[in-house]
Amino acid sequence: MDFEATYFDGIRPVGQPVRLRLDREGQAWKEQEGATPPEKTVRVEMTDGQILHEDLAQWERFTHFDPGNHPPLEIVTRQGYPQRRLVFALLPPGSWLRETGLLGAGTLDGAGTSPRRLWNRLARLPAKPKALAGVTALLAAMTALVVFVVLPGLTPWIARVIPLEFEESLGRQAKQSFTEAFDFSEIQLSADQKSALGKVESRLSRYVGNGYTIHVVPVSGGMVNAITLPGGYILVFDEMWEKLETPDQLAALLGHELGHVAHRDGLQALIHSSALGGLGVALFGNNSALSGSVTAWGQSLLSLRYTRDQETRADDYGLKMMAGLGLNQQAAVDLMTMLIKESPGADALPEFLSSHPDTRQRIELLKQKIPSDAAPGSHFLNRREWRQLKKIPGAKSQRNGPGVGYMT
Amino acid sequence: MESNNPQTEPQTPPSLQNTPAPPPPPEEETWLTAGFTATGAMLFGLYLSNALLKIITLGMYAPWAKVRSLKLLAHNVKFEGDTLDFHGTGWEMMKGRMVLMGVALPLFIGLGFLGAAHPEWQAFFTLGIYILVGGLFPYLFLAAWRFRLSRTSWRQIHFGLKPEFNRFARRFYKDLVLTVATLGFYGPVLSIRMHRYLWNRIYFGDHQFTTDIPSWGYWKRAMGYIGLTYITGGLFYPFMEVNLIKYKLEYLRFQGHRIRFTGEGDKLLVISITNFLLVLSTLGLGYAWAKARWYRFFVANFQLTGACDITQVRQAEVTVQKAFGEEAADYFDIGL
Repeated sequence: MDFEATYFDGIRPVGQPVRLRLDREGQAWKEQEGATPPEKTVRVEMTDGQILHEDLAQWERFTHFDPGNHPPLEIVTRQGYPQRRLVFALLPPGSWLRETGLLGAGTLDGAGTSPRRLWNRLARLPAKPKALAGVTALLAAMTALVVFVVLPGLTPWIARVIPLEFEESLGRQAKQSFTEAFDFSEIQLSADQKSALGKVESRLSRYVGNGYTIHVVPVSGGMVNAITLPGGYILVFDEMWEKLETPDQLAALLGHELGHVAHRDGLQALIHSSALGGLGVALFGNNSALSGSVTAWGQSLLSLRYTRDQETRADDYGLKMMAGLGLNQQAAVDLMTMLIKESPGADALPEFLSSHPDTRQRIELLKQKIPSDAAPGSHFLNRREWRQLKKIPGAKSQRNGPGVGYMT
Repeated sequence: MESNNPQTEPQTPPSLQNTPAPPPPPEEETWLTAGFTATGAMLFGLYLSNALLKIITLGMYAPWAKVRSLKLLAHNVKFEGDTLDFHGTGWEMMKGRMVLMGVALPLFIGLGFLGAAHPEWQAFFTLGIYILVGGLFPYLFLAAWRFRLSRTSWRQIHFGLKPEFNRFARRFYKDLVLTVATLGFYGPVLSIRMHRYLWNRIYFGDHQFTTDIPSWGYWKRAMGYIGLTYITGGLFYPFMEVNLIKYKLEYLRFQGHRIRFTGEGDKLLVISITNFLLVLSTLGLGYAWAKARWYRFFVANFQLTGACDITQVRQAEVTVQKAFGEEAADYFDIGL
C-alpha cells in the first residue's frame, strides 16, 4: 500500500515528494485496531526509487488530522536530531491510519486536544500515555511518601538541631506576626497581675526545663482559645481567661500547652509547613509561597494545627505536670467539659477528618489515665493571685480568628 | 498579500511620442503570510486537561503541561502552509525544574528562617533577594530564549540564539540603574535595547535576524503612546501595542529581508473589548476563545517579503540546551 508524502530532511526547508510503503509487518499491524505499531513498519522511498528509510523506529506523533477537512497529516520520526518529518499529502478520511487507533497517539502532544478527544484518549491509552501515567503515578507516590512519611519523620530530627535561642527568636517574630495579622492585641496588665503571672511563668519554666523561659501572653481576640508558638510563647485569649473557673483549670490548660513547648511541636509544625510550601513550589513552579515566607511566614502559624498524636501527647504531659506539681488532675477533665459547652459544634467533624482528637474521646482518655485514688491536691495559685488573674480579660471584641473552644 | 492596484496607462501626448519609453513599473512586492489555526475549543480542551492532570498528579504534570501548551501553539502557527514545531520534552523541563529547586529552595527557606529569627535584618535579606533575582535576570532571560528557540523549528529547520551573556548582563545592569534613577522614564530604552540585543543574535538555520532600531526613536514613540493611553483612559493601549510592533518590525530584517505587521489598532481594540465581554459574560469560561482570537490577530498579521528565498536556508548546528533557564525564567516570572 503506497501513500504520497512530503519529506523534510532537516537540512533544507524544502519538502521532497516521497512514497510511503507499508511492509508486511506494517500491513499486519494496520489490521489490528489499537495495536502498537511494530518497530519495522514502513519504508519510505523517493519518487526516483531511492530508499530513505527502511524503518521508522518509532512513530512520535501525528498532527493536524481532521477527518472533515483532511489537511496534510504529519509524522515525525525519532531518528536523529533534528528529527525527520514526513507529511502525508491529502490523506483521505477513513484510511487505514485512522482505523488503527494510532490517531489516538496523534493528539498526545496537544494538537487537536478537546475534552472529548481527551476522554477518548484516556479510554484507549497506547504505550506512551501508559508510560506517562505510570511515571505520574510513581511521582505521585513519591510525593505522598515525602509528605506523609519522610517529612513527618525528619521534622523532629531537624527541630532537635535548631538551637533554643533561634527557636525563641522565631517565637518572638511569630507572636508579632500572629497578633498583627488578626489585629489581636496583648492585654495590658497591672503590676499585681504581672506579678501573679510571673509566678505562673516561673513555675512552668522550672517544670519544663531545657532552658526554656515560658511567656504566658493574655490576648484580646473574643474567643475561647489558647495557642502555643515556638520558643515557649503561650497565647491565652481573653474569653478563655473568663471561662476558667479554678486555678487548677488554668494549670490544666497551661500544662497541655507546656506539653507542646516541651515537645517543640510549634517548631516542628513550622518546619513541616515550610517544607510543604517548598514542595508545593517545586511542584507547581510558583515562588509566591516562598517569597511570602520571607516577609510574612509567621502568619502561616495561624493555620497551625498539631497532629492528633501531638495533642494526645500534650494532654498526657499536662496530666503528668498536674501530678508532678501535686495538683488536682480532675481539673483537666473539667476544662475539656467546659470547652465542649463553649463550642458544641466543634466536634461535628468525624474524628478521622479532624486534626484534633474528638474532645469527648479526649475526656474519656483523660479519665482513664487519672488514678481513681488520686488526692484532691493543692491549688496552683493562692486566692489573691487567682483573683488578680481573673481580672485580666480586658475589652471584649468579636473578631475572626483561628477557631473557638480549642487549645492548640 | 498586498493588493495589486494596477494603474491605467495614461494616453501619451503626441508631442512626446518620440521620447524614450518610461521604465516599467516595479513589480508588486509579494508577501509570505502566517496564520494561527487553533480554535478556542482546542485551547479550552488543553487548559482543562492540563489543569485536571496537574491536580491529579499533585502538580507533577506541570512541566509536561507546559510542553503540551507550547507544542499546541507551535503546531497551530502556520507559515507558508507549514507549521512550527516545538521539540522540548516534559522530562527536560522537569530536570531543569529539579535543578532550580535544588538551588532555590534551600536558599529561600534558609533566608526565610533567618529573616524571621532576626527581623531587624529582614529588610536586608529581602533586598538581597531582589538583588539576586535582578542580577540573574539577564542570564535567565537569555538562557530561556536560547532554550525555547533551540527547540522550535519550521520545516525541521531550527531556530537558535547565540548569546554573549556577560556583555548583555553589563548593558542590562547599566540600563537598569538608569531606569531606576529616572523613576522608570528610561524603561522603554532598556526594553528596546534588550530587544535589539536579542534579535541581532537570533537565527533561523544559518540565516540571521538583524535590527538597528534606534533607542531614542523608540523611546519618543513609546512615551507619546503611553501618554495617549493615559489620556484616553486606556483606549489607546491596543493602538500603542500595534504601533510599537510595527515600528520594531520596520527595522527588523531576516537575512536582509523585510518583515511587516499588517494588523491595525482599531481591530485590536474591537478584539480587546469583545474578548473582555466574552470572558465576563461566560464567567471566565470564554478565556480560551478570547486567547485564540488574540493569538490569531497577532500571528496572522506577520508577513515576510516574498523576495526572501527560504529554500536557501540551511540547518545550522543544533546544540542541545538545558531547560534550567526556561524553568528559572518561569519561576521568577520573566516573560518571554
